[in-house]
Amino acid sequence: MDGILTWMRDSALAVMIVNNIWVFPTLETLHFIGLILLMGSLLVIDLRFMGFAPRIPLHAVLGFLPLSLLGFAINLTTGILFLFSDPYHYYDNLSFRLKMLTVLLAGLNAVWFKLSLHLETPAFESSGNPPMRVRFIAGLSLLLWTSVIVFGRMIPYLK
Amino acid sequence: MLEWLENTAVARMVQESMWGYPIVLSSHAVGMAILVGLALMINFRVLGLASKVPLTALKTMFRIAWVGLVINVVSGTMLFVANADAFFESTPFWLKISLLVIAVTLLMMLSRRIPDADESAQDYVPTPQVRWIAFLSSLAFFGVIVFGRLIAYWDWKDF
Repeated sequence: MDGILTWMRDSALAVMIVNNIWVFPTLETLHFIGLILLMGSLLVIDLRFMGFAPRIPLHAVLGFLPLSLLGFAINLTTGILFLFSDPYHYYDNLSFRLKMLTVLLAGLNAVWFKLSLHLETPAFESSGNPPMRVRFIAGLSLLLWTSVIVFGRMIPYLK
Repeated sequence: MLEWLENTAVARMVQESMWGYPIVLSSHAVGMAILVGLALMINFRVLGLASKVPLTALKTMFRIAWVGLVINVVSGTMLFVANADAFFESTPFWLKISLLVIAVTLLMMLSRRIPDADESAQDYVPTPQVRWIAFLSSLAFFGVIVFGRLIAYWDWKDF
């Protein structure tokens, strides 16, 4: 692990990020915009699958999913660049580790959501009312992503 | 006045308790995700994204967006009083607040122009004026995020 961290810290990319004063604030702003796209689209989708706004057809609400993927892609990219700028700081940080663990759990939860949709779609597509298991997964998704935001904001404080 | 604000019980709590500041900061990030996230989703829908979602049904999401606004007015006021003189002298802070007032006003205008969900309004199509409101509100929220982040970099003293 030490080899990778040292390579990241000494890379040309890290030097570029650290030596240009405007790069870091720009990356932070983009990371916030990615967060807003990811969380905003998931709020609409997950709240609908929890039973809120029942007039929105379930298949239609998935039209917001491309924005979740775009937000995640922006944050994965900017997040990796943050990591390059100060690899040892992040690697040793408790809050950063908890954040990465929570991102992983949220990813697994998304897979569970996808599998449940395939299994149960015909059953609830007509009634417009998602079964209990799907409601639970949707609520868990919002809880996990909210925790990701909180752990991210805690990185400078919870070390 | 600013000095008095910084000595109030709320300000002292945010300044001095170990977790006060990070907790308020995290709430501000979560409130941002709720308010700006849902505002952008509604605006993007008005501009043509996820067009299978009936706008009148999506209108319910405004209620959640206003919850995000309340969270951020409360947490934002707490962050302000904890460091009132620095915020008061910060240019990006006042730009952020001005753009926030514009963005929220435009969002309220939008919510009044979208009809409530009933059978007759099912195929509501936004007028060009409503599209402009959605576009300008998105732009203003984008500015709120950019200037909010810049507060920490632009002439910021010992922070």
